[in-house]
Amino acid sequence: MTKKISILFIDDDQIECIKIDRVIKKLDLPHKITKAKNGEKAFKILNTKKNIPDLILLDLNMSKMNGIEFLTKLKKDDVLCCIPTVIVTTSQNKQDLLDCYKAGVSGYIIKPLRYSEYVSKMQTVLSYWSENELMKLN
Amino acid sequence: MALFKEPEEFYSRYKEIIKNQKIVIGDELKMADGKILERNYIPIFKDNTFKGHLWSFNDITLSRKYNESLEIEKQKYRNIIANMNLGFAEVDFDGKLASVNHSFTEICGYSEKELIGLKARDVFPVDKEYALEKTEETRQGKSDSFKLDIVDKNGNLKVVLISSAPNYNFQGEITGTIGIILDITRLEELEKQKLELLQNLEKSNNELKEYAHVVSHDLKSPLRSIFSLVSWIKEDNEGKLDTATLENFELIETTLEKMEQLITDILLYSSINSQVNEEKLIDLNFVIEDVNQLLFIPKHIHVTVLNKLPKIYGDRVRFQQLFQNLISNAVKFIDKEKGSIEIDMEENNTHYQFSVKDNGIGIEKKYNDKIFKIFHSLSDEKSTSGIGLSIVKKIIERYDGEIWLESALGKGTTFYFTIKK
Repeated sequence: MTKKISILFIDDDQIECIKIDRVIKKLDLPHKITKAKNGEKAFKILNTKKNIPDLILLDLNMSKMNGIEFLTKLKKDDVLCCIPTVIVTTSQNKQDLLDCYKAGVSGYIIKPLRYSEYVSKMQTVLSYWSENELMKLN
Repeated sequence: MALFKEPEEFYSRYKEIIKNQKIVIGDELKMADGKILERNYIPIFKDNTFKGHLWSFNDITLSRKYNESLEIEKQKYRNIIANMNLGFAEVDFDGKLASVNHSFTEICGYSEKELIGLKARDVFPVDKEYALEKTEETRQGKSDSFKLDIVDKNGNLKVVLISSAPNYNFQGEITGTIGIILDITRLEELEKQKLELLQNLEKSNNELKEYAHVVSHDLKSPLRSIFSLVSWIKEDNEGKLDTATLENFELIETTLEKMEQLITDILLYSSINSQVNEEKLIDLNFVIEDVNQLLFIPKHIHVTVLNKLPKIYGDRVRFQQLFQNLISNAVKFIDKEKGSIEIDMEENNTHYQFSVKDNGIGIEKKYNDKIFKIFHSLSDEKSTSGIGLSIVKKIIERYDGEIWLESALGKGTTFYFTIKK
């Protein structure tokens, strides 16, 4: 039985949002997904300090507050900095990779072209994090 | 031989002096041997009666020569100052111009007549306080060089380099300052232009990088979305779609894959010249090993390295791309039951020459140049973008090398390339 975790999924692409829902459904996972279209909206959710997620899945290229900006701000918050954040992006840019690890990300996943590959990558990521002992910040 | 240079004149002058019986001081006598004597005549009178006279002679040849050479030296430096390309100005203790040379008049646009007596410090500098400060420093006895923005007579802004030093009199007292002025307006402009160009270049380089980023993301994202949507249609309609539809979906998927490869390759191609990784000593033998592991090489094809490959300075990723493209190309075009790819290396004084030889289908001569051009693929396969060899060529050119090939149709192809040592 998979342990249920709550996930904040930050991505501005509609299809990507449908995709993560479909993956959860397809794999029959119990996780709770909350979605935010960009960093700003994500902070609105996080700043309520209610239902703080166990894991953040973060896209890099977004309008308004992009991934790196969000990450930098997140890591400055005394409480929120503890949430493991995994980057899920198209960018294979070395600089992005470096910047993200410097900012303290817990993982960096490249979005593959093939949907089936995406499913298996997400399965790995989600099962890994649900096995982890997580800070329950609520 | 006469004793005097002009004996007759000597004699007449002599007679004149004797006759006049008046004191004569400092008469000059030029001797035939070049000596110059100073002659004094003093008549002696007692009770108004002439008693006789005294002659005295001094040899003044040496001091006369010395004075002349001093005058020549002075003239020499005066000429240099007057004609040099640098502006020269002498300023008295009140800050008024005492003398200027021609170049100075050209730099400031005033005539010499207008300049003499002018208080230069109040007229030319843009920042008068700074100029005063500098003048004070010079007056304290400090020699210095400094840049100064000035306005000339026509109101043009100019930049000059001033080297100033205090001027002393015989008593060692400072009487003013002297300055050498170099007009560096043009030089400064060029320097400024260079800086601007460099900044622009850096900016457009960064923009280009940014652009590559955006292109990568913005073009790949919709492809991924289409792929997902197709997959979902298939998933949601499992068992309901006929074979033809499923085949068409598969074609959509391979087309998307090709498109994605194309975008990846274009980005790769455009980023070859931008420095990403550190250049360091790399062992090409290891690079080949890596490439062989990375590539899918079918069991019937053998890759052999005939010669020990060198260690060279470069970007490891680039060399990996280089060999990866050449070897995968060779694999792709091998049609024989037993395939062979041979990698070899020779060296001369300046370059390493590598070769990658396959026993594939070969390339027609008319395509020999074309295949290095971007988007020219000779293969009908969907997986090739036609950028591979363009990437290879660009990498080789980056390392001051060349690439060419020899091929026989049906027998195989050998790619040769050089890399500068």
